[in-house]
Amino acid sequence: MAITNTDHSSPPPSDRLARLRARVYAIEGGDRLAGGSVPLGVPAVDAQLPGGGIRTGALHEITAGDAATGAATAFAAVLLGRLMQRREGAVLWCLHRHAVDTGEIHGPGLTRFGIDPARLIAVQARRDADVLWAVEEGLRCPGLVAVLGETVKTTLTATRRLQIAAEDGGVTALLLRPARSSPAPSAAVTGWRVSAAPGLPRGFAAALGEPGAERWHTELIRCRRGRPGAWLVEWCDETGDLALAAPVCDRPARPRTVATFAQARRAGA
Amino acid sequence: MREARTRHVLYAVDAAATGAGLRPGMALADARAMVPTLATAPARPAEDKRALARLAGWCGRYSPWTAAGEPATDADGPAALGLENGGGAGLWLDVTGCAHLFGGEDAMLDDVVGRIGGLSFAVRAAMADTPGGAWAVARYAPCHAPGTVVPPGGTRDALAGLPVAALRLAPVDAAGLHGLGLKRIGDLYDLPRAPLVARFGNDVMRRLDAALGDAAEPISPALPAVAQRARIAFAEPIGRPEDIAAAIEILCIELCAGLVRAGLGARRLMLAFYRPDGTLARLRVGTARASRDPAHLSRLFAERLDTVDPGFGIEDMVLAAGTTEPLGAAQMGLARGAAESNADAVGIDTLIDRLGNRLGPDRIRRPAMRASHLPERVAWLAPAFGPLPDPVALPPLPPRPARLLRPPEPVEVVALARPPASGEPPALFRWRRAVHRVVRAEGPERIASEWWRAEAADAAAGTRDYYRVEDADGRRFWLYREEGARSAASAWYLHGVFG
Repeated sequence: MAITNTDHSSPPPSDRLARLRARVYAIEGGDRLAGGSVPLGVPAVDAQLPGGGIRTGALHEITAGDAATGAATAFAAVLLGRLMQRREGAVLWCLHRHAVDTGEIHGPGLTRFGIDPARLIAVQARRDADVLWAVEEGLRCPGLVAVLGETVKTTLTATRRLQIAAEDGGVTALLLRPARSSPAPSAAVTGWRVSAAPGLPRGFAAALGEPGAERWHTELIRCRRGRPGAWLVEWCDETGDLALAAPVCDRPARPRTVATFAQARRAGA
Repeated sequence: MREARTRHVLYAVDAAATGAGLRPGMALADARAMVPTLATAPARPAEDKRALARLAGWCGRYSPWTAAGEPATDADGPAALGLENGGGAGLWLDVTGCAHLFGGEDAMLDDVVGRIGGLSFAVRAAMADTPGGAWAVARYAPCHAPGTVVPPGGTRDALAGLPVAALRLAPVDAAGLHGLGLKRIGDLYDLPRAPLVARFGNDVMRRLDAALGDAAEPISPALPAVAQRARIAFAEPIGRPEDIAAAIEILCIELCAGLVRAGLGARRLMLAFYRPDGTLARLRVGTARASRDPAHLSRLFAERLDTVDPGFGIEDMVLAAGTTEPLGAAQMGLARGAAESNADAVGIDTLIDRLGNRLGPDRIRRPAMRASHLPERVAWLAPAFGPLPDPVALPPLPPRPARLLRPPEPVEVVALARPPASGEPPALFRWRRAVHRVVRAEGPERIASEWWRAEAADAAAGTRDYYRVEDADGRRFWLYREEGARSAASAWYLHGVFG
């Protein structure tokens, strides 16, 4: 379909582009896709995601930025935690030890991210094909909130199947992929790459040389109907919040001793 | 033909050889002298036994209660071998309450004889009130029809004319009775029991009572008999997957109706496919929780259907619930969590069943807790197909990694100036061929070994000091140093990766 424009009184190009985008969106499925969305809780990130958050009933891909996979697992856990707090229901976690080889999921470690382990069902799969099958089965089960699958290799066809299944069932799908997996065309709504970032401990933690709150380099490498972006985010265990890390991350923290911290507290009190 | 000590003897002979005067137990040299053109093959009793067991399984199409008879052995003597003198191997079928499905006892026996005969077996069958009676009539009845039905209550008369060996007696007992002139079973009927028992032991009277139905004789079936079962037979063998799937649905509906009447739910189901060539294929499925939902059960089978080879077609299918549990109507939608709606809980159970049947039941797990301090013990993935462990409340803990390595992986701590002292994290460590420089560390968190548990591996374990360390790139690891319980040596392990 060729779009010709002979009308000189047409709106400015940016407006026209927006209208074209809306039309393409409607052709692609439009409101059918516009399920709910769950905000990550970081305004800067949510603003860039269409719908203002992680869309439910859609496929999202998280690729690890380093071999340890810890940050990517944690980020996926944060997303799952957000989804589980939003709605009642179980979560299916398809483990695949050849894809993510840093161990089995550990209940006490997941509760930090707002996941109730009692609501988890784990599948220990041996092949990518089994993971993809199990994820698709899970997406068609109405009692689930979300399904997470660990895979090395996916194809456009496979991800398209999952995306359609997610849309139909209204269950959110996450794919967790190791750093060595090669980028492939994907039908996922968003694609993330997450790697660990040096922490910036404050207060006592800094004084004692302890690692502070976890920080992750979070890149939105693909986003349907949105723009990619990159953020440095920090996870706070106490509040269960994700926040944009202070932009001073590349500078060493001001050295503080326990004594000066105690003085500051006295002064504050 | 088989080897007996130093010579070859005949093991079994066919009808033509019998006509030529050959008998089992005869030396091969003698047999060759009588019939120079004799064709022989080595006997393979183990394979015979397996074939008989297969045939017993195949006879499950007639009755759930089938057993392979003990094949004749040397101990029985040559007389127990060969069709003339009692026949070869036998099959038991308890067809109580089954005959009407095949159009009556005569029609059923004709069917049995026809089909097994069609598999090139020489077959003789009898149906009687007691196993002993049927055995005697099948092997010793003089009539030449392959199948004989002894009418109900007619066993006593039917046995009267048969030789005493038909009571399954030890050869020495049979010979002894012969010596006394008691050649027919009928001769034993009116004898006083005491002298007979005194002379031959209990065996003769026990066999007689069992054959006449005065004493019970159990048959141990090849498969555990099940009460809940459904069967479908086809006029023509079917082979198309769609037809088989449709038949499975019918069977599931029928079985579930029976389960509803009995107030049961199936946990384990077995579907047997009977092929016309006497072989059968079996499919087994299990459910995480008792179910009698025909749609769910038939779907479980349909997914595994591609593993079944229909061969030349399937003429009979039997679905049996091997393990059942009481299942009340209210339990059907028992929710796992109070907040989950019934429909959702059923949906999740269905999902678990389907995943388990495709990937293997032990691969579906649910996180569970138990009271322990050791990280690898406190939380574990319990099989979803089984009772869920009781929830355990945990005290607040320092942060734990989202994933735990099982088992912990040893790391090499690289000493810079000096090895880390007790209570100090390492400065540099090597894990999976990569060196990590520790920038920040938190710890130690000391976790003592659970010495009160008796397992040897734990008793030998020492105290662990856990550190949460961050390397130069911001990766966080959960390291621990284990002090040997018996030696002063210590080792470093990586137990998990944080974000």
